[in-house]
Amino acid sequence: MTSIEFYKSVSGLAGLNDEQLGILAGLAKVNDYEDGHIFIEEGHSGDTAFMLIEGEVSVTRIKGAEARVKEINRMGPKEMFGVISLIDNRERTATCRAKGKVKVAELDRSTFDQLREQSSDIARHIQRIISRQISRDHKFFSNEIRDVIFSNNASDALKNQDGLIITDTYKGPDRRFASSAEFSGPDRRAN
Amino acid sequence: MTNTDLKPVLPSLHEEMGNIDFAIMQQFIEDTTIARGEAVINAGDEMNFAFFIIKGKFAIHLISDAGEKFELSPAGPGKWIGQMFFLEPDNSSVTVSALEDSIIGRMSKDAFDKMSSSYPATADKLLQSLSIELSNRMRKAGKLLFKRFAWDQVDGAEGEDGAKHWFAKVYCEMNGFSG
Repeated sequence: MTSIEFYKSVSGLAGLNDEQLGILAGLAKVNDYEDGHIFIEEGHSGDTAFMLIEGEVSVTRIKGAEARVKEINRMGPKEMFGVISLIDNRERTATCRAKGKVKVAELDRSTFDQLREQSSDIARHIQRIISRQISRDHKFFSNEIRDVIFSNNASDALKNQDGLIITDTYKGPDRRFASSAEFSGPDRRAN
Repeated sequence: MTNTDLKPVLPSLHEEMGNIDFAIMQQFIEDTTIARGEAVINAGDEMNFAFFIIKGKFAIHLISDAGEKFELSPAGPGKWIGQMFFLEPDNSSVTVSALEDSIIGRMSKDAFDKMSSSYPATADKLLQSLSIELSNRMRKAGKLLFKRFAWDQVDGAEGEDGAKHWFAKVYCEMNGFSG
């Protein structure tokens, strides 16, 4: 089990008290994976949320008729991905793959459902985290698109394939079109 | 409290919500009649409620920070607008005004908080449902953009107006105004 101190330092879990974090830490399975391990695969459904404890995970998406693989984000410790899988089993929109050795804490949907039974407060808190995250991502994307509509270079934005890509991925605080429902990190935008 | 049977009005919520949840929700939703030409919300106003259209049709204008207007597709019955604002109030980016005499079902942040206290399970299901819907909309919008980039390799032939309308289409998809 990873220490409660680690979970306490994860901003996405802010608001849970020590006891609740202890329950969560007890339910989450910590596993080590080798380089190249695929946690989530684009086009496939998933049922597990991950929190990166050590190492890096690359987020890629298959792009274009030639099916090129494009990296759209690189995640580090304390970032979560696949969170939406806890409530929605539709196909994932990006692939998340270990870059080097990684350690993650995993929570699958059946454990989350168990958590709902065992501690509805924690499950509710996680549900709110997911909902807020989706809401913020949605707001962020909407504002980005609104800005493009009112800019004088919408056609340039259309031409720029690297500029505007909505995926279910979190791209980090300094990138345009960062984030979305799948991911939440310690430094993500508030709005 | 609304007397409207919510189940047929909100088909997208069916998967998560049972009859009892819809009955509970009814207690926390207010029917509001909106006369033709009247605005439900103006861009820039604080939006601390969500609403769905029960009857009628609404014009939606996207407004820039500088006050420029861009007309989006109109919205009709069943559409949720401001889906999550009762979780996180914020200023509206759009002005929504009735194109004909209409009725909306409105859930304020206060009403949602009350429902969360009294009926937490129903509030959870509603949140879950709305989250999934929002996530699906983003997914669809992402696909639209990605397809566009992947297949079109845009050459700019459609010009600035065409590009703006394309993004407006994506915006509508994301915000549930289309269809």
